[in-house]
Amino acid sequence: MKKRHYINRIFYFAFIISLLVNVSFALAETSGEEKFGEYDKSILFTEDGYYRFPPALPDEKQESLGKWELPRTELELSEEKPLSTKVSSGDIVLLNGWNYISFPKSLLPYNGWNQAAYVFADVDTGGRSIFTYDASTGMWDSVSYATVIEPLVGYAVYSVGTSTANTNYYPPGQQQNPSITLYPGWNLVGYFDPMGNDNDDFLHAAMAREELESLGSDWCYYIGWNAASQQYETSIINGADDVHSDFRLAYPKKGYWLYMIANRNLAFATDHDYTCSAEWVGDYPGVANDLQSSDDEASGFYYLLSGDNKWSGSFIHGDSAANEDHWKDSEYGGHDDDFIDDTHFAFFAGHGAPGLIAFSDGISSSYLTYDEALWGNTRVDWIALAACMVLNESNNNYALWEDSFKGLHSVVGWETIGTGHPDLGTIFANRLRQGNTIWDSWKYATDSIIPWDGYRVGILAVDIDGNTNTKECIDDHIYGHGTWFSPSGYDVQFDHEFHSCIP
Amino acid sequence: MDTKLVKITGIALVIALIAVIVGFYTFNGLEADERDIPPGVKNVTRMQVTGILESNCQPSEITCEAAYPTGPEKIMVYSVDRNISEGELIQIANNLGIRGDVSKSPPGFIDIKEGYNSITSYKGRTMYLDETTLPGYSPEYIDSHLPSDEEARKIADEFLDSHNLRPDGAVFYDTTHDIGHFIDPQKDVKIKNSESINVWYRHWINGSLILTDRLAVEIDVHGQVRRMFMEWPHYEPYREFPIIGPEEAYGYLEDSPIVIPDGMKNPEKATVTKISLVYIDHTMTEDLDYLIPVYYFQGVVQGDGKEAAFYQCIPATPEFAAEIT
Repeated sequence: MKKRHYINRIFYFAFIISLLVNVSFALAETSGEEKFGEYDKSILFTEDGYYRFPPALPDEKQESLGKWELPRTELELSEEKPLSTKVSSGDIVLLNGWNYISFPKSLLPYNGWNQAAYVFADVDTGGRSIFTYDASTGMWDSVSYATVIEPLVGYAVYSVGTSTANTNYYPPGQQQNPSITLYPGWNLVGYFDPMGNDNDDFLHAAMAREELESLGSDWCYYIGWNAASQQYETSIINGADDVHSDFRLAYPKKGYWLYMIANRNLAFATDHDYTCSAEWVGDYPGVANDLQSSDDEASGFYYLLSGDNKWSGSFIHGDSAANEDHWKDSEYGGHDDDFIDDTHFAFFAGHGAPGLIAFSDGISSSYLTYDEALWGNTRVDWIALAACMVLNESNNNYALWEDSFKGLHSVVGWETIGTGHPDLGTIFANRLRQGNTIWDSWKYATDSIIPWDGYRVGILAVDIDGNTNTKECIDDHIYGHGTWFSPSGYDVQFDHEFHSCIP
Repeated sequence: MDTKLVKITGIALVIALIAVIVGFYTFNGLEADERDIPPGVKNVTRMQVTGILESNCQPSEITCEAAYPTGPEKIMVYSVDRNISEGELIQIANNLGIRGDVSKSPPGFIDIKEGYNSITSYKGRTMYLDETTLPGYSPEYIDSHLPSDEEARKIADEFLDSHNLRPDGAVFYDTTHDIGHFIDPQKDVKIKNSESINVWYRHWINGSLILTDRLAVEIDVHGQVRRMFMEWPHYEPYREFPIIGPEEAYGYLEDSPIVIPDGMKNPEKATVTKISLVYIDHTMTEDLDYLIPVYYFQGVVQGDGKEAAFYQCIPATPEFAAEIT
């Protein structure tokens, strides 16, 4: 037993040294120059060196700036964050002045409910026209009374005082897939929820990179309008990682200026299949004890969730087929974009410790550490780590994962050591399918399997609006089974909770 | 036969024999410290923890500062019926005013849901949940609107009694708080924005605590009941068994790993501070068909420059435990 004890110590010191090395590298990297450079700035200017404002409205003057001068809103983050965007039946409210709006769902065609005359009947435009922008000609078009109002189209509407557009949407289950043709240069487009399901009655924001994913590198930047301040928001630039980050959110009911460099078609599906994945390790060589239940935990989660009619399983890997490379971001030499980050919900069962999860090839162990993980920059929304102390509260160890959130909604896991139990994944997935929140499902599953006291579980979830009086991702349900909120992957704020498992 | 070949073969055989003898003694030497632990002891104490480096949870030294409890020479073992029928669940739902349809899903879940309220049963664990979304609250609001532990206990008592949910023998045991925070890493801000109180109940049989039965009621900021979790199977006397004494159980503890929920990489000195004879009806990984007596050792362990709580259960009826685990 003593021999194991010494091996254990050697192993632990090796791990600490490797952690220190990783942290040193991370510190060295962050001490370098900001990445925002000439390339990114040049996108914001015309070839003549003037800020590339979106087209001015007819009879409206564009702000005038000097050569190589940027508006203040491009120098510091300025954006409107609608607090709640979850109920589709919510009105579209127009503020005094110009508004750039869009319609998040198709309107019912009966009684002219989808025509401008009805939709804007209660809006006092002060005698101004309502406009759309024809990107093929670069000209503004006036909306007529009979114009059919559609999703994915941006509308410029002037309102004298606050007013409300009339919206009678198709009910859930009857929405159509919208599409729009985009042309090089400026396009005025409407936001469309890229992840929503036709059967949901909810609207969700989405990261711009997710919203415009199908356009690849053919889009350059994307600018919203803040109706309250009557100013453009800070632009979102394809691939930027500063205040222009494309990990920032775009919001339902807003219209956006989109600058394209090629002809493309932007289309969305109103129905989606969501995918899950699971990896487990039971056979650990050396000092770590083998875990008899890892296989059952992961399989229970994977097969029960993938049996849901909205969900399918992408892969389940066990023991040596599971690999830290599948959880590690490509920035750190991993391939998570081909594995867990290419699915919507990933589950891990195995050994863990604060800031890491452990894998094994049957000969030696390897680790995925917090500083190698960037989750959500491809697809993954939720992660469950059925591993010890991954969300440990002492010394704020749970916060190690904060920088791994790049679009991820939440992580659930053990705050204390955990227990391997064959029913854990099954109970968890069942609760998710029954419409419980992810956090409630995790609490119930862990309460159910814990036989003795002293155990705690936790969740680390994104707080989208920074308002301490509202919670967002901590109340997420899985797709197809309730509400959820899409988080930004930039400048992320969090809610966390811990729960003492019931003894 | 060539004499040289015979010599070489002879030398090889001698070397092989020496290797076998050395190997035999080496193997037994490694195992020499281990006591002959009855299978029943190992089966229950073989706690499966998923902590990396927590596998070696055997302290270098263990001492006992607790008084050995006196107990009977024989004790009743009970058979367990953890089945909750659909009818029983409907009755619980009715008591709670939940009138939704019953839905069943594999592998054995039963759900009844109406609006934001639901009741669920799986393998004898029942949970009531009020899923109404709660906002975040300021710390001041929480402090002024969260009931005290005593008030929470009264609310939980009233909830159980008024809905006819209190199982026989349920006695208030403890309260714990679940706390949540809002965090802004960029501004280094951490503000409490949620808190709830879990009121726990337990029960005893023949004076011994049933360690694995659980009942908890969660009370939120406004004194509303958010959740109830209950695992409270039915028991029938099965047979009396002779039990080992606490000294003998302590002997087995010395050779068993201990459970340290807060985790400890290198447990060094463990001190037992309490020993009690309790009942359990499942191990870490499986439900048992019987309610069996175990010695429940609790204490503190030092290591890694800190101190943490630990515990371990040693079966009081090792042979029977071996049969059923």
